[in-house]
Amino acid sequence: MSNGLVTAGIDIGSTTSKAALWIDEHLGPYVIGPSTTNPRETARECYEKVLELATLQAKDVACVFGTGYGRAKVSFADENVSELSAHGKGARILLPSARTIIDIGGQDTKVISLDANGEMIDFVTNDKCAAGTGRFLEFIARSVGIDVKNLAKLHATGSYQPVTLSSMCSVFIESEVINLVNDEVPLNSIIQGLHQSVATRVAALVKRLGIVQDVIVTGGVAKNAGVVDELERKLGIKVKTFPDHIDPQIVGAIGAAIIARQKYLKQSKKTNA
Amino acid sequence: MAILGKQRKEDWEVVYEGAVGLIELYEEDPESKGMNAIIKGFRKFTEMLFAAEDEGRPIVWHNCGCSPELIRGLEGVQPMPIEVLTVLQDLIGDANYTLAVIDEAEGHGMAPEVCSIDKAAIGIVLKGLYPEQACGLYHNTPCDSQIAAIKALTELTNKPMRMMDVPYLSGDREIRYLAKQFREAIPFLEEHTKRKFSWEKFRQVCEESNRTAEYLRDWNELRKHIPCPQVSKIVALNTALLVAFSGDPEGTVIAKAFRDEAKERIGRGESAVVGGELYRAVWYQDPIWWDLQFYDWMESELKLVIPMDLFGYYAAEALIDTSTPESMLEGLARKSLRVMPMSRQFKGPIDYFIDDYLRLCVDYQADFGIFAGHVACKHGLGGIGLFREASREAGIPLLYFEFDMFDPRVTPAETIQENIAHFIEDVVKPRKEAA
Repeated sequence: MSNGLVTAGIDIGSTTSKAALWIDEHLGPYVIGPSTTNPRETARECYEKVLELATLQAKDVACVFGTGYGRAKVSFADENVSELSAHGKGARILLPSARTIIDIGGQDTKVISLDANGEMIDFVTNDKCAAGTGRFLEFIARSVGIDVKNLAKLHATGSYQPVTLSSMCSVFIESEVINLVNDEVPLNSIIQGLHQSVATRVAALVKRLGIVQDVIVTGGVAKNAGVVDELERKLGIKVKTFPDHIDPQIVGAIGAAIIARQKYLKQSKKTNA
Repeated sequence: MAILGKQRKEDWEVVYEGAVGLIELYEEDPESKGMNAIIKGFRKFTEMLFAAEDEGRPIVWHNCGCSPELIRGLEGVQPMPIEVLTVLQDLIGDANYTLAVIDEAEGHGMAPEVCSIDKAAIGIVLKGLYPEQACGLYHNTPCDSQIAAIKALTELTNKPMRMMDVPYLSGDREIRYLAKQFREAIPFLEEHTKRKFSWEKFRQVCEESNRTAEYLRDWNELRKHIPCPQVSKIVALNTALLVAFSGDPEGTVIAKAFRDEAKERIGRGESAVVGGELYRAVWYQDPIWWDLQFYDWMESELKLVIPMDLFGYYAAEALIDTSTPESMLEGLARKSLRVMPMSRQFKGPIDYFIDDYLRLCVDYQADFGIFAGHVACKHGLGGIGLFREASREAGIPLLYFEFDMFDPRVTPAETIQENIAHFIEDVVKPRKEAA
């Protein structure tokens, strides 16, 4: 139970769905779960779970915003906001020095550029190709019999000798990886090469916008230290991490909750004026 | 519908019918003075072209970098831009037509990466649709693609051509260099058209060109008004006006109609956007010519108006000093270097291109810029990184997307609409609200 102003953000992504509460100026409980074929139900389940964690009821939440691919399906939301706006806002509030946000999600990658005041000034997205996304990593990990969560650990194992994956398409990369496995190339080298391949695509997208530091990575793939490591090599910079070990996967949900708060306060001010 | 009472090739008939149909449509709307004037101009251009052919008068082909005043200095000679049928089909005929002529050119071996307007010109010539030329007068601007196309056209038609070497910079030395080439081109034109060049005729043509420029200068000022008084699509027609009608009284009629309409609408307190404009953007790079209704969509769905685009804002620099033959040649050279669409922007250092953009954004109080990247235009797209940097430093959001100004197969309208709508929703609207 909270006495503060509570707002919620529900991020229905292509691969995972997230819900986060923003209580006054702080992050409250959050949940992450898989997206399903019923985004409406997924949103409700996430919301119920996060309320349960916070020991709150829906009536205690002043405003709910949906975001992500399935944002229109968050039927109980007061409004919805694009994932670009949500990630931009979330990253900026959590890390005020952030100027470039790289969001590597399940099925797309977005790069967002903020101006010195924290307002979004430009963005680019890669939503036409699977290569360079979380789904791509899952797909390849499955084809070589590895849990996607172990990719970062394998990346850091042994010496750093990434193989060069020459294919541009995830379908062809899969056969290339299988050939490398059959040729008994060490698995860590293959994984390093895989991460390098993802980082190359993402870095090209970042360079289209131009690098303005600080740079932060969000989305599920941000949890893969191997990809982040390769991205730093490609961009020639150190990327920042969020304070207090905030999970980079929930930045969109947090951003939606913060925007919900700002809208709610603005509306209240108007009503009271 | 027969042009000048004679049946012409079907492709031209389509253009002519389109013009006639649109004139009827716009004539019913007394507020469409500008659109009506330019469509009438297109119809008249078609008539003048075929009148020249029927009367056995020489036709000189030229490209969009080459302003036609010098050609008009020869009595009875009709200039014809090599892009004309493509542009007319896109604007008032059948926009799908361009795709067929592009395919025709590619089928004959033109490289796919060549600019679509150049491929289309080749396709049209391969189909034998242009009236025969006495000779060609060209500038080696705005791009390499056009130079390649001109060489191909010359080979296909087996007619003489003269190519002006347009220098990289646009200072006084470069003006003199180009003016000298104009003088040298006169005997070439006389030899192949069998017509005499008249300095008095050239002076009259330059004076006409100046009158057009003066109206355009006033019009440019009027479009700074908030709300923008006139529809956005009219801005996309600037290029056609300059290339086809410079030095022609019809150009002055069109420019005056643009100016008068803007002035009258401001007087009546009217906005281009029904319900009121919410956003203003400067459209940079090339217009969407395959669907002028795209501009209507921006106004009705997004409440977005384009007060000015890349190719329209330099009319005041087009004035030609008509006091002596040398001053006229230098004035035309100045116009070629500093005003003609694309030549001004793409031939020299990128700084001019960027400075123009930033100036337009300030002068027209734009909320953002739209860099519509025509895919074949490496001269423009090569600088996108610098553009982004400059825009960011100036605090002006810049939307960039790639498309083809003559070929909707590259990026369909729906994708471009989505890009613009998202950019407004995610970038422009929050910034306006925060301000």
